Amino acid sequence: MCIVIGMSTADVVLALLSRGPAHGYDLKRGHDTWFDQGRPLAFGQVYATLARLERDGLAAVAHTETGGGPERTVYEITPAGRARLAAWVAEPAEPAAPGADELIRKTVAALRLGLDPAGFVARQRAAHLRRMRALEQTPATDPTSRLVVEHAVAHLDADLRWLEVAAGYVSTDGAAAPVQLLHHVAAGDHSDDSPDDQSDDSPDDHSDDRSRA
Amino acid sequence: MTPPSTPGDLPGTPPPDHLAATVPVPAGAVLEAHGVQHAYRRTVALRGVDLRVDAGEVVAVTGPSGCGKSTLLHAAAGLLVPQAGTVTLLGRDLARLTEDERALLRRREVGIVLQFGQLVPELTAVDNVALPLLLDGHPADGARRLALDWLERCGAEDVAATMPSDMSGGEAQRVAVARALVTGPSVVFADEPTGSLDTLAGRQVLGLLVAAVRERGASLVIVTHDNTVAARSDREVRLVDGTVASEAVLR
Ligand SMILES: Nc1ncnc2c1ncn2[C@@H]1O[C@H](COP(=O)(O)OP(=O)(O)OP(=O)(O)O)[C@@H](O)[C@H]1O
Ligand SMILES: [Mg+2]
Repeated sequence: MCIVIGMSTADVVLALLSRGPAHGYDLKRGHDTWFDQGRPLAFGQVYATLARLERDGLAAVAHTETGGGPERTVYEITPAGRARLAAWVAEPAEPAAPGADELIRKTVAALRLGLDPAGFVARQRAAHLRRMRALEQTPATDPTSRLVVEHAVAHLDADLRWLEVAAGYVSTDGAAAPVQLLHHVAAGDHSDDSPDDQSDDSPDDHSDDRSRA
Repeated sequence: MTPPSTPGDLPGTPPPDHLAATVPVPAGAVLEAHGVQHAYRRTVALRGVDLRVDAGEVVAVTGPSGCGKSTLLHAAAGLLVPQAGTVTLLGRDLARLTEDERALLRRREVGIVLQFGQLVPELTAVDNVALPLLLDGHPADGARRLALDWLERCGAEDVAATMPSDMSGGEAQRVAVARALVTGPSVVFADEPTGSLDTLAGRQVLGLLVAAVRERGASLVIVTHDNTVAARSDREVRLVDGTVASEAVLR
């Protein structure tokens, strides 16, 4: 399971280094504690990242430890590194682009081709709920790591709400309006406006029209 | 925290088998509903729904607003006799019981949390919670002590002496949960409060209910719009337009 997607390793290593001088192993452990639901950081990646940070003047070698065991290089953040870290945190992350997700690809294909879209939505819903259940049972080591779990839960919840919208578009011939589905994602509109609304004059109650269109 | 004792520990408790079982309990099932249909004056709410709940199982009933969740819950809990189909709850065919017998079954063996406020407006929280015990002739001080235990367990001890009109939506819901659990029911039916609670407060109360039911090994049918609540169940039954659209085993 990889919850932290697109996280720039260099920026995280810089963030970890800002807490004080550290060697590669410290940084790996720090990373894996911060993102304990994510993929552990490989040693090779730590050292490659440190080399890059050093080359770019964002980190520097502080000293070399030779206490009994193998030599260990301790790195520290430079003023340029601190500036870069501050700028990184200050800049909002790019909201995820719609349409680039396997969930959306499969849903659109199932709806467009009429490949048992209702069954697809039901199976996907079950898969999402099972993952959510597993996440909810994950013991939280500290409040911030709980926060990372909650991000994953919130994403699953958003997907589930979107799937409800998709389920409302399922018609007998399987044809639907996936373009509008994507608009739902783009607008971040996960509100409870399923086309199953009971009222006859509901603006959303056009599922039949859509399938005929 | 140790759970408060059940009313079985109180003196003067009537024996639980006060109602003759008209139908044998299906092995493992506490609830079996078959072909349940129900229509209100102009609306068909249920179009032939089957629902089985095993002992110790937590089942979430989900679906879009108006799909029939509350109607199904009311039929399963014996608050409503559906126009067609059978409901067997704890071995009793509900349609064959009198209204009084159904009321007694609900009070003694079933816990119910309804969607809309259902506390008795003239009673304090502790008296609301003690009410099912008092109605069954339990001594008042024992009933109140147990009611206080459950209020505390549900995080509502601060409003023990408060009237329902002076409670927040979340507090009233906690009190309702305490009242549903005070008799030590083997089945609990809960309809998610809508409107009165913000999502987080609602989740906390329902989470508490699920935990309490699991600890006791009781069964729970919980109606919810909240995916994170559904994800705490063992099985999700999804209704769309009065029929079961899908089921998912989650455990
Ligand atoms: N007492 C009633 N009289 C007339 N129609 C009713 C009554 N109760 C429910 N209905 C209708 O029956 C249908 C099913 O209602 P029900 O309350 O079971 O839905 P629900 O799934 O619980 O909805 P919600 O999620 O909004 O609580 C709806 O169309 C509703 O308008
Ligand atoms: Mg309802």
